[in-house]
Amino acid sequence: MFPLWLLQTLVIGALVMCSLGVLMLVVFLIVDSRDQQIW
Amino acid sequence: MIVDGGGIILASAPILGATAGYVMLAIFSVLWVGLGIWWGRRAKSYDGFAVAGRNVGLALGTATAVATWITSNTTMLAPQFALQLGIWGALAYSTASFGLFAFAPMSGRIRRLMPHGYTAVEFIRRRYGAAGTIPFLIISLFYALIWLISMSMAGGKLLFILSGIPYSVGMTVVVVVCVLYTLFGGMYAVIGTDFIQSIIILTGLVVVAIAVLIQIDISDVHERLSSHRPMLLSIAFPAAVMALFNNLLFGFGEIFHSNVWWSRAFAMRDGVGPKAYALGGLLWLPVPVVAGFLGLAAPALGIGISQPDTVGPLVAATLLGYTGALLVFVVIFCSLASSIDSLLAATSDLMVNDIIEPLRGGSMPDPDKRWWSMASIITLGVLAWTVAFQNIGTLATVLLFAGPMVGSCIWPIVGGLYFRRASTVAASSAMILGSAAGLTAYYVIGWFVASLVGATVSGVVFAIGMIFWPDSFDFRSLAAPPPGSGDEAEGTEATTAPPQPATGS
Repeated sequence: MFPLWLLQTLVIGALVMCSLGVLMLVVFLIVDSRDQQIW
Repeated sequence: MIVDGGGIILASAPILGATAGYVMLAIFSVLWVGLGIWWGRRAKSYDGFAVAGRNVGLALGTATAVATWITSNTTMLAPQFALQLGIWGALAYSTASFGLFAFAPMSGRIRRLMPHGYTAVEFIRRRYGAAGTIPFLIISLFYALIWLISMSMAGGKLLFILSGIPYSVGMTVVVVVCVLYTLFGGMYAVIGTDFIQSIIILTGLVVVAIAVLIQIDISDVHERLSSHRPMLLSIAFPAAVMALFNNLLFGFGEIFHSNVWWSRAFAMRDGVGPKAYALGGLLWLPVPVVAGFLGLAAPALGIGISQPDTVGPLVAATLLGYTGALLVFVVIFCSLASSIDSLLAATSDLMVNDIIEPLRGGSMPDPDKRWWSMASIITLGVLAWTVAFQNIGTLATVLLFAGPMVGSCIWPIVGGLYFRRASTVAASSAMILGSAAGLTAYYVIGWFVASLVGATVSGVVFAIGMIFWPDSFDFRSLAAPPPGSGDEAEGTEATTAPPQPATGS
């Protein structure tokens, strides 16, 4: 049976990764726009 | 929402009012179409319209990989997988991100090998000839149409569940809006809106999951599952483990063969593709786990689900009420739009470059190709609407039917990109026999082994074909524009360039 700690790690870890993902996309956009490399 | 005497909540009635649904639909429809027109001004040539000028940067490249792969199926089927197959179900769905990781190096090679390319079918045609093109084109079109129709159906179904907007109206609006902004802006509009959509989807998922976690603890979910549905926590759940491998191969097949991903590889600036696809995979990986948690939470919350593929949105909307329903509505609409627009753009490229242009017997000028692209987008929209209007079959059944077929394309694509020995006989027989075996397994055993069987049989046949009927392909020939395209002077220069590294040859 999957232990509780594994379920907690999966859910919380996934939430953190999604949040960091949003942050990462915004940072990339800023960097790309500074270098005029969006398109 | 109805609460019965036993404490089970049957989330069957729409939580968001129809008026709110129509207002949200109107706001986002105007936004997407407006952005489509705005970005469409950049698309002055066919290259601009079809592959966004081949100069897309890392931010938009990463976002488009994430947004396109987060379909409404991710937000609907991942919770369903978790509800029916437990933790393994959510993990199985996450393995679809491995396709993005694996495609990352391939996207760089595709961009280098075919600097003037437009479609995956064009690669197969120039690599394997007509015998390889016919089965591949059939599989590509079948898959693209099934995906397009299932997304359109999901649109109508979800908008009805969330807001009570009639299925036919919701589905029609989703299809028409996506057709309109793809029509005006081509790949510029598709990739541009994908960035906004990916931010909205990821943020929305995080907010919904946090709001659910505020109302219920993970340990409560674990305890409830342990006592009432222990199979969902079982490490040895044979069907779920099979689903994991099946989903992995389905994801590989979907991404490797589909022009949705090839067209993005052509659209990204040189060197961006591998980074964008790898980061896109990393961002996508946790999404089914977050969405799947909603499915696992349903039994613990005592929410009775009449339609398993709507468990995620229903849990969120039931727990979070009006605000939650609004948020889910937006996330779902973005998930739908980001996939439908990609399919319309990429499939219209297939129709123009791989069906219409060859049938017309030569190269078409830019304005003609642009006109045919727009006609193809409208045709695809009408076709999807017509079939989706019938509202037949469940989402999982319709989409998983394509699994064994795309699974049988994995080896012909990988072999064709990296091995000189990969031949027409090997590729075409691998696709045909792999699809036949996979579809047989689908009917005889079940969907959870279909892709596995298709990919395995295809791999064995492909290996035998390479051994007994080898080719000696010159990868440099792919760098030239297609014969008769009018760019052959540039192509001559390309063919005299240093040879591309061909690993495995």
